[in-house]
Amino acid sequence: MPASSDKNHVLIVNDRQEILDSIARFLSAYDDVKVVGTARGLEGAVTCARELQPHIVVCDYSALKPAMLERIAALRETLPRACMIVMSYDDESTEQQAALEAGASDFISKFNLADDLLPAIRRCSFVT
Amino acid sequence: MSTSHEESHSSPIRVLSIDDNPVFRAAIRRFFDRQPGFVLLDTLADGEAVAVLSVEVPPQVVLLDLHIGSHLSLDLIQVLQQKWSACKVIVLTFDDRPGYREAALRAGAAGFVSKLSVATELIPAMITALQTSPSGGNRDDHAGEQR
Repeated sequence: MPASSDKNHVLIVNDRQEILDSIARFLSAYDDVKVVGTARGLEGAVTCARELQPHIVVCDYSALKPAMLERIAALRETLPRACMIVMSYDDESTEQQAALEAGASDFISKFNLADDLLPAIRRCSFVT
Repeated sequence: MSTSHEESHSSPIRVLSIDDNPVFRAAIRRFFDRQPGFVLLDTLADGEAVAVLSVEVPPQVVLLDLHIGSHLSLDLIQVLQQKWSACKVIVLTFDDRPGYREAALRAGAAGFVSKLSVATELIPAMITALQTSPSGGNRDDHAGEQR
């Protein structure tokens, strides 16, 4: 974990740049959150995670499929202490359960990021 | 106060979605599957599909992605309103940078909703838009459709 922990360092993973930009813009309004990086795919995410050592990874569900267990494991290996928040348009309990069983810390709907993302980040806050 | 939405409570509100992201189109279909009182007529990938779209009854609300491909889609609002004069256009986007909301409303949009807030803001925005016109919620109002 980085020495500086006055903010929650967040890495965002999504395949669409407009979503990465939107979430980064949204989170920039909060003093306890710092978006340290964005990645458009899981390979880039692992590289970013290694370099940036974020506290929290906000990752799109589709970026984790089809080999969700292996992909979450790859991120976990790089960031053993990080929280992983999975976001998806599909908020069915089966998908939520699959993500949580694969090692995700939390699961939120992409249709409600404005309300749910910040509380999810703060639930696994590293800021003291 | 009686509103067009209240008057049409027995008829589902007809919705059309235009968005270039297939994942979002599939998601918005599932979203409306769970919304009593609304029916999603179709989902289109771009504005060109509007010209050839034939629907039995016109949509009352069109959800329009602000960016389709690399272009702003605001010119499409006029096209939609020429085809279906009573329809209300709600612009949906991840790009809520300053200025876009005002530009959308100036172009004729009846609402502007961030895609980060669909779960909480989309349905209220649609109802508000429909309340602004007595013809907006009337299922039998086919006058706006140009075939």
